[in-house]
Amino acid sequence: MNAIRRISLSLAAIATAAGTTATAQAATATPRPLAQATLATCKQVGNTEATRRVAMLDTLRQRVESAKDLTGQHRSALLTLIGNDSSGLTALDQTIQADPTVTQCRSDVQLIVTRYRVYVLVVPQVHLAIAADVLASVDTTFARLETPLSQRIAHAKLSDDQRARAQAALADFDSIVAAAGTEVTGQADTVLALTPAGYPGTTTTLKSVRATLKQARAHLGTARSDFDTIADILGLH
Amino acid sequence: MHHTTGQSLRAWAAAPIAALLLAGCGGAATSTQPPTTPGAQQSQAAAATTTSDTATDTIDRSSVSSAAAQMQSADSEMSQAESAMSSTETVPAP
Repeated sequence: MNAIRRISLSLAAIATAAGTTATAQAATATPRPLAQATLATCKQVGNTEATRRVAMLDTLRQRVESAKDLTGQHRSALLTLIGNDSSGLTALDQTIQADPTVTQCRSDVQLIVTRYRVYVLVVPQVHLAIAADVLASVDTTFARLETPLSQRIAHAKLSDDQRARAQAALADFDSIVAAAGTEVTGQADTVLALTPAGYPGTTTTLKSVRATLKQARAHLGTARSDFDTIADILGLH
Repeated sequence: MHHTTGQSLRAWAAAPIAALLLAGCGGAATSTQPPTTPGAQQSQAAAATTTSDTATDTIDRSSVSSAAAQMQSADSEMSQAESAMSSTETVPAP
């Protein structure tokens, strides 16, 4: 009885092993219906994700083209970056649609993220480069006001107290505008030098640039207050 | 005689027209001061300075107003950058 049971179990094990081998061979030769469905889903995901990023890049391109304070060099660099990423993602989507296996498809779909980092790198790159150039433009505008304001304070009919307050505000204005100018210098270039290969370290750099730009923005806001103080004393309003 | 009268008429007509044109350009103060005495010349110079200063003020104020709008634009750009930086980029597992 025991001998018969052992034989039966062995036969069952052989049958199971044979079935498994047959199944594996079938999966290699012709995808099962489940694998085919998974491959189709994978390709659909790849197309959706690539298309979503290409659309985002087009939105960024429009923003770059309309940003009037961007320098020509920075605008050109951003448009090149956006154009390369957009064409690269389109080509990657075509590759994914031709992938023969689920494994290959999954690997290629991951490249949509790792090769481009559109949302966590390109989007901040564009916005911070624009912000840096905008603040640089404001700083230049304020720097041009220093001489005219100084001349007007010198020639205006003011009391000693008024003149002293105006001169103090102008001294603060001058130093703050100089500080803001130092802060914004080179920030756009720093941002534009970042690449997806540097992620996640790129995020640290982006946060540092943003913090410096916020500092420059705060300085320029104070400079604006100084200007208002001087304008009030001189009666410019 | 007729020719002389025509010149006088033209001069008579041109004077107020020139004054009106100057007034329209903000130069009325200078046009109403006959430059015949040193005092009058000083008044003319003062009026010219006032006109020049007014123009400078207008430029200053408009550029500062533009700068304020630019700073708000920079705020918006930095906010969008921050939002993107704080996100996590993934794709759904197929």
